[in-house]
Amino acid sequence: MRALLECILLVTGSLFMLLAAVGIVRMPDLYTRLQVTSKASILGSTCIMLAVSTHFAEPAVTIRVITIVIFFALTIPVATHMLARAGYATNVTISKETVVNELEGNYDPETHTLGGEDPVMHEFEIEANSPALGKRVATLGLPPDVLIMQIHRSNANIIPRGNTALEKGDVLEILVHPRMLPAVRAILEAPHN
Amino acid sequence: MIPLMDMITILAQAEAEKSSNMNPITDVLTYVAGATISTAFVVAFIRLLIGPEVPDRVVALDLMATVAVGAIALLAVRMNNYIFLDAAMVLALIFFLGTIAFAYYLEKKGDTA
Repeated sequence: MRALLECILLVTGSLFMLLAAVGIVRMPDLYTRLQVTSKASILGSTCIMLAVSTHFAEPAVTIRVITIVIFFALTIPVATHMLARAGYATNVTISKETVVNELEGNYDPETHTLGGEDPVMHEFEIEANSPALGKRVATLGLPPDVLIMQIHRSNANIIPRGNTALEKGDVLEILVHPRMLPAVRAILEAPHN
Repeated sequence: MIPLMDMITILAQAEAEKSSNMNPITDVLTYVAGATISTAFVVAFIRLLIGPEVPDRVVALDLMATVAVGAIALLAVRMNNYIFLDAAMVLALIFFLGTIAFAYYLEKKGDTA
């Protein structure tokens, strides 16, 4: 009876390990891979560890098994979470099939923090390849909650008006809600991919 | 060389004792489980090779460590010697630290795209 239980646990555990490995190869992007491997590998290793403690049926083994299982259950989620975070911070590609991305627009990739409600000052320099070059402020199509405070142009400061045209080398001081930062970047900076 | 010789002795003793303490079904099924775990290891290694980005490789490495812990546990059953579990514990600990260090480093280093 004990041998039977041990065999079932061993085979189930190793099958879940295989499932985790197949998942990591088949899944389309980092985040889905993390999700599938962490769950399946925890279940797989737990099954195998239970098989070990069933096989030996000794306190010394059971204590080791409990330690390893708890260790895995605590550390694998932490490790995968940190990897997902690092992946998102370094712009790892997200699968095209993704339906919901709640972080989009609420995350500042420069400070690695979630955007709060308070507006912040940001400086943008108009470079030669900027899509905003030569446009007037009124025609930029800036979203609400965005205010250009002043423009530094060749050591002079300009108070921007609707008809002020942006030139190369202009530094714009912008008061912006953090969640609007990606939209403002898209308007003022050339796409960098 | 001495640990290696010990290892060989343990393996030889285990092979000798195997027939006495293992019924045929257990014997076969540990082989099946061993084959499955080895396959899992190789399949995870494919992701380590093809990437495409560093975090993907780190995930694969992490999974390979977990699979290796499972393999060591299986070996402990197979060899009927629970001292192997200590190695499994140490391996799990070290690879956890490794993954954390990798994630920390990647986040600090910034954009890889």
